[in-house]
Amino acid sequence: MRAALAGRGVDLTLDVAEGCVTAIVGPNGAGKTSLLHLVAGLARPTSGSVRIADREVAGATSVPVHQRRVALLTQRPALFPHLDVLANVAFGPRAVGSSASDARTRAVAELEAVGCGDLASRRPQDLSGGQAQRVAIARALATDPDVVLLDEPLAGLDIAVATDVRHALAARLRGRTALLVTHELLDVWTIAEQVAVLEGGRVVESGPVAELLARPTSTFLGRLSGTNLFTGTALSDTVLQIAPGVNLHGLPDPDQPLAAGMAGLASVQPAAVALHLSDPGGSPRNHLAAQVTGIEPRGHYVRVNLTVAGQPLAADLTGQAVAELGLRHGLAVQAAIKATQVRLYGR
Amino acid sequence: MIRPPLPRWLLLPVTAAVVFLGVPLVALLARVPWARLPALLSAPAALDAFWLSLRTCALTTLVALVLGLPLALLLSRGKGRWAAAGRTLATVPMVLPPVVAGLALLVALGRREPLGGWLAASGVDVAFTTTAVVIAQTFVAMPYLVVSVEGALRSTPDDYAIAAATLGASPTTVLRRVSLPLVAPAVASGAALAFARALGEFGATLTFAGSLQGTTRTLPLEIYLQREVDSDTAIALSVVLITIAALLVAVTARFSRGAWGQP
Repeated sequence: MRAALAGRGVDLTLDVAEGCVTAIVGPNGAGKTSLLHLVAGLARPTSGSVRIADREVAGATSVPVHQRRVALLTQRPALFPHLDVLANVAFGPRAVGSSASDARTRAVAELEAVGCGDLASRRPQDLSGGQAQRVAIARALATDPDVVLLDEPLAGLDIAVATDVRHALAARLRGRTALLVTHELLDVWTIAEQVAVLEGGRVVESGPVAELLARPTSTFLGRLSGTNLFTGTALSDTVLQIAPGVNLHGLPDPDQPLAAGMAGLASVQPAAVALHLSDPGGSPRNHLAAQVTGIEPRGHYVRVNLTVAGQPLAADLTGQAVAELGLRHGLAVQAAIKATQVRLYGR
Repeated sequence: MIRPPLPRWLLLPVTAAVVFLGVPLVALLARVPWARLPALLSAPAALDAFWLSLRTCALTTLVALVLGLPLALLLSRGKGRWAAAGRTLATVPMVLPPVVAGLALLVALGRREPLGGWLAASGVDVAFTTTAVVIAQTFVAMPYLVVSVEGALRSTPDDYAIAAATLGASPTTVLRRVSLPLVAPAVASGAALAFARALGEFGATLTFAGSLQGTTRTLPLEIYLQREVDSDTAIALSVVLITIAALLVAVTARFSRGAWGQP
């Protein structure tokens, strides 16, 4: 699939590999939703063209929404309130000409694949937010779309529920071509294989998720959740090697635990990082040699930017601490982080 | 949650309003010659008027649905000057005095007018026929359906239709299986309102269709006529209209609550 489009301050060139999930991230107003709308046919490009699987759907020819073979999943599940769950999922197959019994069989299979087989006869109004979004996933995939478009599908859900639905989504999207717009780093890491960063209506970076997260220039991804991220290789379920000889101890995420040899991701809140001028010893498991690269006052606290083994690390300190330590650009310090403050994710 | 109470003195004007609205109905019901009711209602003129009203109102509702639903659909999507003009045109008959509506129809379709004359020459003579009754009723009643359905369509979020389209549904399928079912409650209450308005139609019908027993003399016209001749018959027929009106109000209330809760 190739998309070169212009319109509404959006000028994108994006090549999306078939059979893989590409996360679309970027600040608000970067044109993420516009990108999905251009692919879905809900917006018409002023110039350029959109191709899905070698078929031009927008540009010189314009294919109407219902013939594009795309599925769109948004924050609102938008299940049809006048139909029960099974009829909602069977709607797509029926609309494209399947017999009633085929559509029903397919709908039952899709519902079971997202763990909602027992909800078939319910009304959408009687579902919880998480259930409704799972049913919406089943409905979207029941038509075998060429491209699945997801516009922050988990944004409306509680954190605990979002985790469940995220895993269902990751499982169901494997091997499909999909564009996932999200603000959540965890979505990128869990669901996507490729990532494209949009800013000001343009693609500023794109590539494999692991590569982009490892690259220190990828500032937006780092800022995405306000969290420090380290990529590396797991030595065990609680240790991530972020550079030769530099290990980070942490707690494995229960849903995506690490295993030795696996590519892994560690997240650390900036407030959990303590800085010392010399190795303090004591209980924190992680003592990392770091160098100060910048100091930004942010109201009640000071954000200290550092590098650790070539990867960026941000620490939030009080102004008093910064003054007492005499922090300045280029100073070598020790960063201490308790292992309980480090979350490790496998993939 | 307990809401802050309304002031007690409101009971005074409220009582006045209830009395004001209730007294005429009670007075009418008190005057009904219950014993003679079956005889009065089975008089040929009364039966003719009753069946004519029922027939023409059913037809009116049907025509209003066939013509009004597409209009409502289009208006609900419309933006700008043309949509505003269309909306005005669709709602003017609601506020127009019925006698003016009747006069307008007469001027347009009367036998001696250009359009009506041309129609008459082609063998279609509408003025002072049952067709004229349906035309007059549809003219004044259809806006109720259009306004009710258009409002419901406008307040329906777009994402249902978008979801349906991305699932492969053609525009006709989206309309048939999603958009119209979603506003079905409004269609039902709009149709009930249109039926009620048609049932009460007097001025436009009298002006445009006249008052011919069995052909154009509907219940309201018969009641008006009998009022001077035999007030018992007029009151008996009024009871019929009140009953139908009460039923329609019940139907409308049932559907305006909305059959589908938003998920």
